[in-house]
Amino acid sequence: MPSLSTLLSLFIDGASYGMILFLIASGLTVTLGIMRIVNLSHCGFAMIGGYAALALVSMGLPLLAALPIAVLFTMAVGFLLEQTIYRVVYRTHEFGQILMTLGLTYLMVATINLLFGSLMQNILVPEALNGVWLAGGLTISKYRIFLVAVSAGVAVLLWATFEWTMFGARLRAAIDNPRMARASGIDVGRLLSVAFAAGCGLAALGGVLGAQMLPLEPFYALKYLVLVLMVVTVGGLGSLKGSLVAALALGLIDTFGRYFVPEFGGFVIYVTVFAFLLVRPRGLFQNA
Amino acid sequence: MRKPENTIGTSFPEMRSALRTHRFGWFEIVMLVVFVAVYYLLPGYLPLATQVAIMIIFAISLDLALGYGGIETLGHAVFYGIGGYAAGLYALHVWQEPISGLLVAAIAAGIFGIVSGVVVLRAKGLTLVMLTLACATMVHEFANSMRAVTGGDDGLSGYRIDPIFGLFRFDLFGRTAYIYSVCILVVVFLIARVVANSNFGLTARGIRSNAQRMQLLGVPVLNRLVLLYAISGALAGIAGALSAQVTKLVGLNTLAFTLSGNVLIVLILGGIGRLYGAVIGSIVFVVLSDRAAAIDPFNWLFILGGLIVLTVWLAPDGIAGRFSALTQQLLGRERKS
Amino acid sequence: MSFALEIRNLKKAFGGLEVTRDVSLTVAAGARHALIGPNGAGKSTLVNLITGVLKPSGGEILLGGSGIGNLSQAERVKRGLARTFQINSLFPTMTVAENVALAMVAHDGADARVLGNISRDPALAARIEEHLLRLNLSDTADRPVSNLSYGQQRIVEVALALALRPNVLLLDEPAAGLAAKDVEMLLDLLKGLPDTVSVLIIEHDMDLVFRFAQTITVLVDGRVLLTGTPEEVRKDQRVRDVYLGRRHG
Repeated sequence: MPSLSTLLSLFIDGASYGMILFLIASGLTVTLGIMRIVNLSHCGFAMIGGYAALALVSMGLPLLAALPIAVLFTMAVGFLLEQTIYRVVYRTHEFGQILMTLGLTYLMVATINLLFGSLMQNILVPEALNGVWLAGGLTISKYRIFLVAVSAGVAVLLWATFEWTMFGARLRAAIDNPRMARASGIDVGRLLSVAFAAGCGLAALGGVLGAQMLPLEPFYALKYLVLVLMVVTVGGLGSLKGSLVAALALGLIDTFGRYFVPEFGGFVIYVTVFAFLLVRPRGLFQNA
Repeated sequence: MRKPENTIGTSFPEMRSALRTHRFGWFEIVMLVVFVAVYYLLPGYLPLATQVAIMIIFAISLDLALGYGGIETLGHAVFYGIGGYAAGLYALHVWQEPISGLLVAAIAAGIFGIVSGVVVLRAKGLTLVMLTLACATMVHEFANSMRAVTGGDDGLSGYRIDPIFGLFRFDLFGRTAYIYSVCILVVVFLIARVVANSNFGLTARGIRSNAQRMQLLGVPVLNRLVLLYAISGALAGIAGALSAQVTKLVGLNTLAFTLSGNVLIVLILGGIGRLYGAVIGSIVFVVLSDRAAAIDPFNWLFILGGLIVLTVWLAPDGIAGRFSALTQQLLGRERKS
Repeated sequence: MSFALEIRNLKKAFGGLEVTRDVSLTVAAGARHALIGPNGAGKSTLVNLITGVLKPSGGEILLGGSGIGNLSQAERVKRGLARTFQINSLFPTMTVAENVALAMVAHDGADARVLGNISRDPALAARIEEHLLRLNLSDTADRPVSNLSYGQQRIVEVALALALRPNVLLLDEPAAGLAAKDVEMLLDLLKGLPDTVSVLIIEHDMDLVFRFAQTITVLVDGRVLLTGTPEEVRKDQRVRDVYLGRRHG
């Protein structure tokens, strides 16, 4: 029976991993919810954010300064792409969207490789957040706690925006019923553009903060796609609440699974996802 | 067969064209000529041509699932890989006879198709895509973990393959491998054609077109999809097995996402829903990737990505689609109806 | 002698919204039964409940005397129930012949047969040809359904259901969007149906209803207002009130 310290460590590891997945997946959930657009290049934006931060840090900026710049940069890239290439994507049927965004992802991978090479890279964590806390016999990683805190903060911010602002209300209306929303005067197209850019920003945030757990490499955009897709579908398409719960659950299940079943620990989440979707094919919540 | 009196309408031959099936035509003849010509005229390219033949088989299998049944999958490589490892392990531990190896691979992949299909095919749209991707990723992880059996990252090798029918030894120039692959391709093509032209083929197309309506015609849709997926999987398994047998190596790349993506691209390029698309797309893709990979492997992704986006945008029916549209325009239609 | 179709105390609620309230209805063998009512009365919901698209909140559905409540949509069809859709649900990229073939092959239980070439089946070809002839669709056999006129597509919709040789045929507003002459054609078609088929038709076109139906049930707000002969329904004051003097829907 593992010690309390180990269990707590695992819990924090799993929770922080889950929160990173949530940050990355949240943007996809929103765009899926509004326009039912399937955007397989979503992980690519997380990657772009991560590499942008990497570039800034290697130029001498501290991580906490590089972070917002990287996020804004990714949002700009996302916005640009949305106004150009995604216009074509919108017009195709679902499978066409899947294929086109897959092609776009390949382009992202190739670009990153051209600029940064194919080796795995890490973003150095600032000194202040390095190391562990020792409290009453328990060892807690500072950076992981920081991650959980920041992501929780962002999640609360997201929730507040959704529930309490006009923007959030319009977004919810557009997710529930795009046609109705349009009919009542909501500019769904512009809403989508803003939400898309915001989603890219969130993904970038996840990409930068989570670089320790999801190391940066050109194939990042494809490697972690499965995970993000699982979060989004298990949570329920278009449901932010669902994505949060699903991401946390998957993060914890994966971490604990790998610890307790070292040989086949990687399977545990897949088996869980299959079993879950058999019982609840629509996911946890729908369009909540 | 009594004919109603005031028949102004169709007769049996015209009903044949109303029930559209795949007919042998000049395309098949040209292909056979090309395959024979390559053997005699381009002997140095036989290994590449063998790769083309194997890819065609793989693409045909996907076309059955995707083009006929509408099963959108990003994880078709799972069948290719299972077939490859099955054939490799069979040759390593049981018997080095090639034909039975193909059968074992087909059965292994087909069974996996049934087991995974029952779970996965209940879903639609993005959820289905995700599940197929997750399934392939899971099997990839599994093969990676079972290092002792599969060789892990190094792959499975060191097995011999006996001469085909005890007569045709695999030679260093790839001649036997080529003829073997082309023959298997012909067999697979015929099988796919039989399925496509059967009642089941029509049912599959109906499911792709309007699954809800099929339910209301009394068709148990999930059952039929699982059967189609299993057949498609078995044929993909044969492709994987062939590859394992002619290269004497099976690696984790046979289960990788890259391969699932590649075979999809083959079909997008060639056109889905008509078995020709698999042929055209494979030739274009394998030759292109061979040339490009020789020049610069990573920048090949630029070309691939660009190709996908452009093809889906401008030629959604692929090359075969463009071509048949052109042919229809040129030849006109026989009967104005 | 059991009824071809019987509904007992059927209820359906979506959350708090009751759409079908305690509906009981019988369709006799060989009946020509119409279901009318203003918009929102719950007619389409009823059809969806009978065919299994929706699960009822309460009550029973019996086909030929046996309950079908637990059966899937496909299983109910196999028991002899067929329906048409108010909005066409066809196979648009496939030809008319292929559409009919799908229904016939499914009805034969031969839809999973992997051997045999479908275009080399003279018996099937003859049946399709005969079917299309009866429905005046002969010269459209090799055309994709999407190329047909709307009126012709509505007929194909009926053709699909008839190809299943059903015992009970549910027609959901078959005349919707049809021009007058197409409605006449539809009426001829319906009148020509054999006695072995019991028909339940939902319609707004009162002219069609009164010329075709022998029994009419009026549904209002999810409840049965009355069931009777066309004469009884025409004369009933409550029905007149409901329709506020409108004679055609």
